[in-house]
Amino acid sequence: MRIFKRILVPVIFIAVLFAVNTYLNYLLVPYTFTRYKVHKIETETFDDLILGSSHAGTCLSPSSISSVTGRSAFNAAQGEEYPVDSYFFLKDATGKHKPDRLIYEFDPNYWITAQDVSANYAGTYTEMQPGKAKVQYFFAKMWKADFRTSIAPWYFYRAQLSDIERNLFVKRSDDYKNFGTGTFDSATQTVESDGFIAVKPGKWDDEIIPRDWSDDMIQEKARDYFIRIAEFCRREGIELVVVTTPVPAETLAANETSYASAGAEMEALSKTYDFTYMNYTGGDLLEARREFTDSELFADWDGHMYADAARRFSVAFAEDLEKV
Amino acid sequence: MSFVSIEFMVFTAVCVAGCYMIPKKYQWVWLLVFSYIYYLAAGPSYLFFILFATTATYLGGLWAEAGARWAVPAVLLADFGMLAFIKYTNFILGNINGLFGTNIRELKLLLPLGISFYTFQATGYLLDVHWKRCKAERNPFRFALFLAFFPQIMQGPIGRYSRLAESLYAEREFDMARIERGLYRIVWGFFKKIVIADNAVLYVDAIFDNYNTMPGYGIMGILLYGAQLYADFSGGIDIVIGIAEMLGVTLDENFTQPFFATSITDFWHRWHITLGTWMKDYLFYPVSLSRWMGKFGKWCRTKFGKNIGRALPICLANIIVFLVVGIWHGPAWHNIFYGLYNGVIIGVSGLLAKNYRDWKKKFGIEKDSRLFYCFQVIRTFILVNISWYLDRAGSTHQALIMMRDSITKFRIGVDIIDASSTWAGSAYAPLIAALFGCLVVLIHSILRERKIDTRSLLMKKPVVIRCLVLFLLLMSLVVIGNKPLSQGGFIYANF
Repeated sequence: MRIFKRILVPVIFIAVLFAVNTYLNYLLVPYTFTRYKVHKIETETFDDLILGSSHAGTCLSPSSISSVTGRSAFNAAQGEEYPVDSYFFLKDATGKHKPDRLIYEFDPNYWITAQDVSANYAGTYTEMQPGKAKVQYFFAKMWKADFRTSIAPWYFYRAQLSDIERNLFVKRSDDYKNFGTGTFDSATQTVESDGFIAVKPGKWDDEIIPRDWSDDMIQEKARDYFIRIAEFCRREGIELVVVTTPVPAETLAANETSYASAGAEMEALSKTYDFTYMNYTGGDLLEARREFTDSELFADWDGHMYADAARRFSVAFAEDLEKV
Repeated sequence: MSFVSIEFMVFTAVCVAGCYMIPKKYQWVWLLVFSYIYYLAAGPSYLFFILFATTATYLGGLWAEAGARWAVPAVLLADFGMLAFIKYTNFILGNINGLFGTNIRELKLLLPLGISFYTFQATGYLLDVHWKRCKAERNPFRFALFLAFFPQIMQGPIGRYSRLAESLYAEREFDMARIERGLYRIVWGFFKKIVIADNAVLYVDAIFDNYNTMPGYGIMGILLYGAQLYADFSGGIDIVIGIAEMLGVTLDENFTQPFFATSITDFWHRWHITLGTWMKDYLFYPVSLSRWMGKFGKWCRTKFGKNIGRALPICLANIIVFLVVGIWHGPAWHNIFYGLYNGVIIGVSGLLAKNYRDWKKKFGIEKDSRLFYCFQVIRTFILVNISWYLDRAGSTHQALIMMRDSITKFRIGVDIIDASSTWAGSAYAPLIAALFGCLVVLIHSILRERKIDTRSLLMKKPVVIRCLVLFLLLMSLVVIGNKPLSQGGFIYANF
């Protein structure tokens, strides 16, 4: 009885802690499109899967690409998606339904900066269904991270108590239960069913962000996981296409050397690992599609396109893709 | 392996659980294996340094015990030589370049995890064997565990063989009460680190990084730096001692309410105690009892009379000790001045001790009066805070400018940080959280100062109360703790 009591107390304590933590996650963590995108790639099959950062999310419209290629496509790209996230996202998707082609967006900035531990850090991991990819993802990313990041993601939202009511409303709605996208319709953007993040017109205040790329700034982890993506695609018979989406001409002019160096780095990797690289920030493609560097097409200097421009660019991109 | 990572928590849990599941005679082997896994996880390239220190000191101990006179200086030279080469080569090269206008390129040197701590622990052991305070350890693997015991390797406390060996190699029984006590200590350490240190650092870094563009915040910066440093270092030590306690190993305490110190000497008896006692036993006494110091004392007595003649050698020994403490704190002039500042105050206080007694008598100050005690505590607090300008600033020049601006351009406020970048979206929230944490630690310190063992007190309470305290401490880490910082880690882990 004594031993039972000794064990019972820690067990009850852990159970209470677990229950409180789960409830706080439910109350505070909002419904994000990461849940929607993870659910889509885990349950449906697409010919083309788009992965990458928010640039891919806002610049590549799958339905526009499909209108040219005739292949089904889904855009699973999202902000703060580093190569490590893309790799396990791809593995998760492939575990269920293997795409024929991966369109991977290369944003040089994600290769030279360490990932900030923010709400998005564990977003994809949290939403993934249990499985081999999730376990591997845990050991690759969460294992060494602060325990609060994966165990209590609500702590990123702890100051947003006023959002609890809305979170509860959303989580009880059919949109949430059926993995809908209606919730994501806001004043600035909406998320379409093909994963495309459609940015609405309205100039944002923003400054040109300096892009200080140099080869010695490359984070080994970023390059390592990109190479893993390339090797995984080759092993699984998935065609890999890497793209750097356009940025406003002013941004390009201010960071010419950085974009050139980053482009050269990816160009070299494309030869080593035998994939197609389509760079809209330098070389022939930039010259051929210079109309997509007009700053009027962008919501900010960083290179997030307005939805209409993004659809036009996606058609152009698909046409270029067909020529490869 | 970061203390706040899931990796470390699982590692520790497996180590603790396994330790009580295996045959008792292999428990120390288990700890050795885990200690080396921990060290390897930090980087395989670090392994050479700890193996070198272990081998050299182990053999040195045996040779010293056998009477080889050359062994102790040779091994001390090897251990300290390695530490000095890694930590101070670039500092020396930089000074040579600055002085002579040369352009000698700095070396790319690794700073192995915990090298300062295990070097001091190793050399302390060697001198103890040499002075016959303890017997040399015959088993090289047991000795390896003494140097590499994983909880303490990163930031101490600097252990003494005579005390640590007994509990490190002992056969231990599982004791739930000890596990629970260790757990409280660990969570308390996390509370200090995450709630106080990680919140305070936001303002400290902003103030010290922008001292030129936003001058005048020095006093606020230094007060918060004091809170950050204490919470960071003592919090880390709490975690270390808590883990060791769970493993049945008793480590030396490193802090005893330093902010209640009544003098700088008293402060160093309460702050980083194991470094202070190491310095006292292995540097202060050998220096003050050395032949040349004896001659110097004799000369002083004939020149300045009995009183000053007796105090001056002690004053000089203190200055030498704190010069070394300053150098130990890092290869930079501001650290050396930080050490000297403390050394000079302690040294001069010793010289003026008789005058102080006379003044107290003259002004009718009672030694044990509460008012005088408060005066001493506040005076020491101010002196310590002044020293921290030198400790925290990037250079002596910066420290001096900030000291000046603290008075001439005094400012206070939270506009120094970007509100949108904080966890609450408010520039006040991290400050309030840090101050709340400080208040809790202050109450705890007052109880400790009154010799109340808070953990024993808690252990006597009903299980519901104990669980509630643990629950509240854990929740505070998530509710008011700062988000993980990109720089992360503990300050003293960089030594």
